[in-house]
Amino acid sequence: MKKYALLTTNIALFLLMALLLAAGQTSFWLQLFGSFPAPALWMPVLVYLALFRSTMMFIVLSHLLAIALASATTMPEALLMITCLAVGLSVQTFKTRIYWSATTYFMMISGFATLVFHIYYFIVTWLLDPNPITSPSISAWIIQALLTPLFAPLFFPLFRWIDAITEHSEPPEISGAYQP
Amino acid sequence: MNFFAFDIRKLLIVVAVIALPILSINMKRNPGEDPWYRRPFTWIVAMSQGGYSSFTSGVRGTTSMYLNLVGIKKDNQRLGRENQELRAQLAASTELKLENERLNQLLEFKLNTKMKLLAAKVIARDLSPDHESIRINRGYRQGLRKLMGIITVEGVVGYVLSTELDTAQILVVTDRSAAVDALVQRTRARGLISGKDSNAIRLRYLQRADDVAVGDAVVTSGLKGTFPKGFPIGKVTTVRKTDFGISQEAMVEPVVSPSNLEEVFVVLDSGGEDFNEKLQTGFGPPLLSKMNPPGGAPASTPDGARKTTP
Repeated sequence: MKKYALLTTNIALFLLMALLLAAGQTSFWLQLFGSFPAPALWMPVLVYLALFRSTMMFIVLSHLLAIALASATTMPEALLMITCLAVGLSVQTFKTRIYWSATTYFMMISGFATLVFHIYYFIVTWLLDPNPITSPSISAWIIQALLTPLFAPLFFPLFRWIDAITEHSEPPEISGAYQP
Repeated sequence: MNFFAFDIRKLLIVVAVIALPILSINMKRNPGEDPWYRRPFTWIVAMSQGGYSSFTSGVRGTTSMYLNLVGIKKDNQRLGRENQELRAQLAASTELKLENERLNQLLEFKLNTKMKLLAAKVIARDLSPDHESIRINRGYRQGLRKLMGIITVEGVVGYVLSTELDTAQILVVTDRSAAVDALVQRTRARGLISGKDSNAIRLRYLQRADDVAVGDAVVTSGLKGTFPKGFPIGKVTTVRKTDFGISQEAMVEPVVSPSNLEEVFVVLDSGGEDFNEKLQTGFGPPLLSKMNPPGGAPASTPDGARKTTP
């Protein structure tokens, strides 16, 4: 019973973090820097979950995250869910090829995921949206992808702390105990 | 003892000593002028005093300069801080002045219209740079409902997409999902406005025969009362007519840039306001006032009928 309570707390805390960071991105950044593109502050949450959760667990969390984030955007919920899932699975695939346990890796993947997110969303709108993106904001995509890694290391210890207080154990392939 | 046997010299000396001060007191002086015998002394005293004075002031100057040097760093730091504070105060005052001007403009606009308006502040933007939506600090508790119009003094911003207790999400006309019924002000040609990107919107579904030219003002139709009639949306920049098809499309430059929005109005009730009539009085958004100076020809035909060219 305690295990499920801790898991629920863990999920709730990560969703709360994502919402707080999204609010910071859309509101706090606006007050400070006006219309200058804001870093995708919520992206490190998605990246962290993709890196340190099993695929099945990540799929569930990704959908929950997309539902939560839909309140801060006019992006259609379904398209956001598909895009988040695609980004997360891409990160997991990338991780199976190249991985090193350092903050620089987390920074690099956060920037990569931000850029990939926009590209995937652009493609998804052309595939599924009757009104696709015709004028993509490519400069904003690039600025976001460059700014996000600068903020990602600030959140990483916080995510680790959440995992520590909720006694979340990493999947075996992450902790190194995995034996194929 | 010979009483009178005295020394005459001594007597003269005594008499002279006693008489000199008395003589001196009684001597008539010319005011402002030293007597001749005192001048050398005065000169010497004055020279000495001058010398001392120069010396002491020099010493005092050097000492105070040293003391000032000791305290100058502190003063410099204090003045630097004061300067920064004053600069910050100046920046804040300038910001307040600009805000005051903006709010005055909004107030004037609100007082001169039949519309029931509610002022709101922009508090957030969209999470994605490919979507144009904003969030304002007014929600259904303040009477906001879905699809209510959002405007500024300059023109149309968008409409309410969803409402929460004290906030509302606004879909800006520049978003590709937005749609607003519109008219070309000059010819009353009707079309549908939809977003393209933050700097451009499209006027779609214009009839092929409609007269639309570059520079024409595009205004709201006032349909459904979401927006007042004749309120500016933008200015036509290009007209695209293909060789086939039954409609044509125009690219429109929006009058309101979503990136610069700070305060907006929610149209709670348009009150049947018609800005085509307002133009006669010279009151209205800058775009309309510029294109239709007061006293000039009315912007619309008297019956508001739609004019098309064959």
